[in-house]
Amino acid sequence: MEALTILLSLLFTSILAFLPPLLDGIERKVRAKIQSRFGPPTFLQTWYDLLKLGVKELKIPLSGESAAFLVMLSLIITLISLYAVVYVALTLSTSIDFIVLAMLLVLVAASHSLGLVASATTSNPFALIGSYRSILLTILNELGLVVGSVLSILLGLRLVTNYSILTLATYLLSLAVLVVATYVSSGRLPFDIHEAEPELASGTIIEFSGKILGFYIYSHLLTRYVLSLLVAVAISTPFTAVFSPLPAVFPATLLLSACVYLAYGVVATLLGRTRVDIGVRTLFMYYLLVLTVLVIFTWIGI
Amino acid sequence: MLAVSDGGKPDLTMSEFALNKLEEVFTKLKRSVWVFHLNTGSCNGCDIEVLDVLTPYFDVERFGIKLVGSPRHADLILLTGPVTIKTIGKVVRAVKAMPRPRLVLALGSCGVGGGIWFNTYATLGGYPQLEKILKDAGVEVDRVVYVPGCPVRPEAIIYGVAVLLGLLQPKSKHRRVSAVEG
Ligand code: SF4
Repeated sequence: MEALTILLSLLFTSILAFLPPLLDGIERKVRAKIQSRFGPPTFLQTWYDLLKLGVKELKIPLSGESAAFLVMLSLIITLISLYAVVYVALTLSTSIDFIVLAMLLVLVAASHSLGLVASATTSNPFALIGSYRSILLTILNELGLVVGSVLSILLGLRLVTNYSILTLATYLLSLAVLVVATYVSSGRLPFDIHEAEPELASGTIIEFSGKILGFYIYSHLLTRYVLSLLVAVAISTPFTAVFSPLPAVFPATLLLSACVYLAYGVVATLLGRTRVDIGVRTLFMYYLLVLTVLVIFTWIGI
Repeated sequence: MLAVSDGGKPDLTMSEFALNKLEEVFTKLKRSVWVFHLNTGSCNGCDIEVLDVLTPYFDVERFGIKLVGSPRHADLILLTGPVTIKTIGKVVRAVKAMPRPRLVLALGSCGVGGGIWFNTYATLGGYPQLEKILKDAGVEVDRVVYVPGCPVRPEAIIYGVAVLLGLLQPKSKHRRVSAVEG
C-alpha cells in the first residue's frame, strides 16, 4: 500500500509539474479580461516564454557563477515539495503524516531562501535590496504558514470526529491564516516587492538571463502551485475523511488547487494599485489579530 | 573616435551561444518577445508613445510582447533618443548586458538618425553612429529595424516589431544620406 502511494505520488508529481505555466497562462488571460484587454494570444504563452528563455544565451556577471547551481537546487527542492504535498493529499483520508507536512513547509522555505541567496550572489545592488525585503517578508510570513497549515489540517480532521461550533470557527480562522500566508508566500501583489516591477528594476532577478531566468520563473510558478495545492488540501480535509478516499476527493482537490491558483490571480489583479510599502505592516497587524484570537480559542478548550 | 568605458566587470558567458541556431531562436521569438525601454536622451515624446503601446488600449501582450525591467531579460531594446554623449557608456553597457540574439528597434527621428540633433556637440546622432561604437566594443547586434516619426506612432512601433521578427515586410526602403555642413 505504501509503495503504491509513493508510486502514485511520483506519477501525479510528474504530471502536475507541467501544470503551473499553463495555469499562469490562464491567469494572464483572466487578468486581461478584468482589465478589458485581449491578453496573451494563447493559454500556452508562459510555456512559450519559458521555451524561448531556454534557447537564449546564458549570461551572468562575474562573481555570480554559483547562481546557476543555487537556482537549479531551488528548482529540485520545489519539485520535492510538490511530491510532498501530493503525498499529503493522497494519504489524507487514512491519517495525516505530520513529518511529511513539516518537511513540506521546510522545503518551501528552503526553495524560497535558495532563490534569494542565488540573487544575492550576483552582487547587484537592486538584487540585494530585493533580497533583504523578501527575507523580512519571509520571516514574518513563515509563522502564519506553519500555524495555518498545521492547524487547519488538524482541525479539519477533528471536525469529522468531534464536531462543535468552536472547532468549526477555529478551523475557519486557521484556514484564513493559511490563505493569507500562502498568498503572501506566492509573491503576488502587493507582496511581490522582491521581484517588483520596472521601477525597482526587477528586484532580485535582475541579473538572471537565459536558462537560469527560465528555471527561476518555472520554480517560482511551481512554488505558487504547491501553495495552492496546500490550501486545497486544507479545505478538503473535512470532506476527505467523510467521503471515500482516492477516487472522488483527490481529483476534486486538484481541481480546487487550480481554482485557488486562479482566485489568487484575480485578487492580485484587484489589488494592483495597492502600495507595496504598506504590505508588510498590514500583514503584521493581520497576523497579530488573528493569531491572538486563535490562541484564545485554543485556551478555552480545543 | 569616442572611447567607451564599459564601467563594470566583464560578463561571463557560461555557454558559447551557438550562432548557427540563430534562426531557431528567431522562430521561438515570434511567439514571445520581451522588450526593454532604453531612453538615450530623448525629449520624452517617443517614450510617451512607447508607454502608449504598453497600455491596455494597444495591449501588446496579445502579440506575446512583454515589458521587462532588466536588459538581461530582454530580447529587444526599444531605443529612443539621439544618444547623448553622456549616455554612451551606459547605453553600451545596457546593450551588452542583453543575452544574444540581440534585437534593436531604433525609434523616432532621433533614434533613426539623430533627428534635428544629428550632429550637435552633445549628441552622437542616433543608432547608426552608436552601431559603430558597439562594433568597436565587440558588442554584436543581430537585427535592427528603424522606425521613423517625430514622435513615432504606436502602430508603427508594433509594425516595426513585426518586421523585426520577420512576420511582415517593411513598408519602405531607406537610403542613408550625409548632411553637408556650412
Ligand atoms: S523623434 Fe521627436 S519626439 Fe522622438 S525623441 Fe526625437 S524629438 Fe522627441
